[in-house]
Amino acid sequence: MSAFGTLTLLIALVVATYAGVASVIGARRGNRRLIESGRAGVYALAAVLGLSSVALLYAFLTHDYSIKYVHHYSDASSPLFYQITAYWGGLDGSILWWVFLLSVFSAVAVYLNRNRHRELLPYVVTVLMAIADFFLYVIVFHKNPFDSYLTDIPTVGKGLNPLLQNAYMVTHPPALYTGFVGMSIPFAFGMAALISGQLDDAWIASVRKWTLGAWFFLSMGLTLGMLWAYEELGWGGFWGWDPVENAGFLPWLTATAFLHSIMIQERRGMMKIWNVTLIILTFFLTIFGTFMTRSGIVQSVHAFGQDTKLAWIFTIFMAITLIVSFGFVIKRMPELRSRATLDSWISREAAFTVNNWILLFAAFFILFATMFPTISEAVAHQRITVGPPFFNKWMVPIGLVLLFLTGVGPLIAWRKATVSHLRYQFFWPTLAAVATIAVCLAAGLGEAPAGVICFGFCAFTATTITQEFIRGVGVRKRNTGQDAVSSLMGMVIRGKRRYGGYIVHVGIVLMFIGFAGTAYKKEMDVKLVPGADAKIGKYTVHFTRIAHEEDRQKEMVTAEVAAFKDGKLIDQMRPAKWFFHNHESEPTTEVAIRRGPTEDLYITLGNYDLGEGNVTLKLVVNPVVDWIWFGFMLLAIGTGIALLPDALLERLTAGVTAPAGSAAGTAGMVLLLAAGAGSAVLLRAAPAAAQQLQQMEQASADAPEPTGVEENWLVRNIMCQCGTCRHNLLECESDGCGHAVQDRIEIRQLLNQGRTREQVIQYFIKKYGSQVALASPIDRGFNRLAWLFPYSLGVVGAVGLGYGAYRLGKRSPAHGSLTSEPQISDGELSDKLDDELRNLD
Amino acid sequence: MTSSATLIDPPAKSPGEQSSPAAPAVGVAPVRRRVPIWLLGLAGAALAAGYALLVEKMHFGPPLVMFALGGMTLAFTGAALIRVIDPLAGNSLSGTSGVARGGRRKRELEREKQLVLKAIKEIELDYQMRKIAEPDYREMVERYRTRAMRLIGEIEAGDDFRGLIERELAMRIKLDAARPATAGTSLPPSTCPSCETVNDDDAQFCKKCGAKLSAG
Repeated sequence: MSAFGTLTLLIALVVATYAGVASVIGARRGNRRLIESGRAGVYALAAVLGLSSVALLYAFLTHDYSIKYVHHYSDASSPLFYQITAYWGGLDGSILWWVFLLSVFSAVAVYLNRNRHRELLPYVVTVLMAIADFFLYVIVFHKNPFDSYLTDIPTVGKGLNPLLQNAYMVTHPPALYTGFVGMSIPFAFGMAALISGQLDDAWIASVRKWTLGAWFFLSMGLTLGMLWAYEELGWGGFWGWDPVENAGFLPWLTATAFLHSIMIQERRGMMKIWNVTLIILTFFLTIFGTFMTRSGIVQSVHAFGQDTKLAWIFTIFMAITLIVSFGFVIKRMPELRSRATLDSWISREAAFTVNNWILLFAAFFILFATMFPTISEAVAHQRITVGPPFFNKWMVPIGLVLLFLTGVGPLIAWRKATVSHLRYQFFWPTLAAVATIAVCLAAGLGEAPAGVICFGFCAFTATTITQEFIRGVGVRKRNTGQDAVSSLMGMVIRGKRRYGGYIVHVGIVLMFIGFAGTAYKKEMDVKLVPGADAKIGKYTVHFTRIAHEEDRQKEMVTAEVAAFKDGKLIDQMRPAKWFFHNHESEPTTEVAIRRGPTEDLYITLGNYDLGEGNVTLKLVVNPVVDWIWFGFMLLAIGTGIALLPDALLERLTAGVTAPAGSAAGTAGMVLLLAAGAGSAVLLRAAPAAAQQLQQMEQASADAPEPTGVEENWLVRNIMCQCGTCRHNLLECESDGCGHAVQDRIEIRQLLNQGRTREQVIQYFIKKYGSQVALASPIDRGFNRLAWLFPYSLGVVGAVGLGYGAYRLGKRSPAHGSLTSEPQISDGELSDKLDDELRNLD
Repeated sequence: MTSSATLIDPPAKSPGEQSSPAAPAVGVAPVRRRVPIWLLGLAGAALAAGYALLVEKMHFGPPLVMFALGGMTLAFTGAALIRVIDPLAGNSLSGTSGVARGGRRKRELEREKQLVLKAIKEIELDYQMRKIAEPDYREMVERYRTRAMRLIGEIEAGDDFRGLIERELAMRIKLDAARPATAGTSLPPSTCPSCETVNDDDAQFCKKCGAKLSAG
């Protein structure tokens, strides 16, 4: 099987190279035969890689341990499902999975567009095949999943890490991967437009749905990642700015920017260079994300380990991608220059431009902050940490501005808004925001100003969207004479992009409410003897007993806890730790969550002593956190509406058959959905809790609950140095981490001795030999760059934006691209047009 | 289905019809009979399953299913590779018939027209919701109406490009004749003041005499 698999990979490499070269030569020489043959090559590549995948799966199912990859990630006793998902459980297989997905998406994209964009398509094929070639090169020459043992063939497989065997691990990584790979298609079309010089909006129309679909899968991957972190990791939060989370978030930001700014190009013919740049950046960031996880260049809970050669291969590919892509952008710059003008700063174009700037700022900031420890180590030979507090400092205001713009965008007209119109549009949303802020302050939520502002903006945006729907229905009722419900349906169906988008925005608002809730999170660690109580917020937690059980797969240590709310028993909760056989050093944390629309009670088991029956529990009250997941559901519904095929809608509404072309994009989406839903990539290795079972039983000394401003600040801004968790001292403790407990005791002692915050920090710098324990680097020396960069990035972006807008605004409006067309004054045609417009209602 | 065993596209269909590779060709006589790709895959799977059961004596279970899938992908691979080589061997190309091309073009125009019509509708809605000022509304609608009418004209003309060009030309001439009367004497800013050459809208210097154009 090994030889056969390798052979299919080699054939795939040849086919991909041939298809790319044949297409480009065919296009240059105008040779239809070569183009046709190259196009068929794309189908052939998908088929050949399908064969490779089947070969690998067959090896897994027949337990062919002569193949190293099979030996590493599978064993005969694991369930069939995990034997199949082991295909993408490791590095080599996951790259094969990447390129297989790419080949299938390419085949679908090429098939759907075979009758359109004749000039564009050969170049699309070339670009896609070049990407496929790169990944095939990696697997054939460096990471072949079919590598075999020549002698000493093992008889027992090592088996997949049990930490990876859960539902979120099945859904979260493949969704992210589908999103990552899906972004290659719009990139290929964008590049093809640049190479062929077909720079009109045709490529945008072709890729809009692809981008939206890929964006949706990125969102899904990120949300499932948050859900996984929340339910499986047991540190009480859902987003820790881990490099790999960031890697998924970066292309999401640029893709969001792209989805908004293509509207400007479609409507106004502006920002062509910008859109191409955005799609190049998005693609680059997907590759960069893959690179970060695969090469071990950044320290992360997800990384597969150091692989310098792979790092170099990726670096070269990324450099080539950037040079070639931007080379073509520069070459086509004169043709890309926009002929339209920015009429006013108070227009939707301008709002979108600002939105783009903010999104890009966020992307660059996260990229920089994620890479900064690596840069610092290379340049200043100093290990430092850039932790959540540093990210939050910047990302909270950025998020708030974005949320505000989400609300403002729909209210402002294209081209030019006038003051009276603005007043009419902004009255209710502003009122809602002010009222919400007042209510929040009255309810005593003022302790976290960012939270209050966030709730205010959420109210603003939600009112905006509600107002859009109500006024839209009103107008439609007047125009068509229908009742409210039919008007609403008709309006959403006619403007599915717009109203689908609004529903996505509502989803985002709900998510923001959930994010803001974390500002009001309460958490505490308590050591309890059987029969003891602990109080947190409105809840009383009664610890009954500790249980030790065992089944075929694992040993389980469970704390039995009764939860009371306002004196009434609401739930029996069972936080636990599971120790899978052969993986005892990596116990899984089984969180007990009592969910509610207003708040979750969240309990994890920390240290315990089976002999005396004592436990340390981490109790967390997370307000409104579940709104994030509801928000995502709305986001999914909204995306679904925006992606609904015109053909289907028209059949549903008017019984009119639609042009075949419009169904094409949808078929692609169905495929994307199928690929995402029917597969699972176990690329995210769960963070290993380092404590051994034996160590755990020696319940260590209790960490003092932080009191006072200084102590609270310190435990939140000093990172645990256990080497695996990337959490601060407060959050790490309940994973049973002795490290954090020790540090917290030291902080308490130092403060009791009268040391200041600065002195405690100095103590920890000395203790660990560098600033590595600090959540954000101290603003001194080389580290000053970490603080300087975001500021300068913001300033440069603002100046660039201002200059661009000035340039656009300076041109006289008479030069609008479409106005140069002569007016047609044909009565007959005009009547026909009116008829058609009436039919649309 | 992304691939097909032979190279002949079905002839053009009416715009509303969904084209599918397995659909029988009507109208234009096909050069070669096409084998539906799913049939090919099924045959491959059946062959592989038969081999596994009869020769390898495998029992029914996941490995057998995977083996059959292997047979199917092998059949797909073979078919796709034939498609790669076929055009090079000089066999007829897909989509060469003029009828098909015309139909496709018409579909594209139809699609574009729908987009423009929707844009007009959206602007009307925005205006009625009091987001756009009236002059801006009029200007934008006029622009899109012009484009829509041009598209309707093109669709109606069908393949009669000659008629279309003549019609367009007549319209422009009529328009040019009407323009000086309404637009007065001022030249468009892109017209060279010294040699009266009409330059690109965003040109800063005349492409004929090199004189600086008035800043616009």
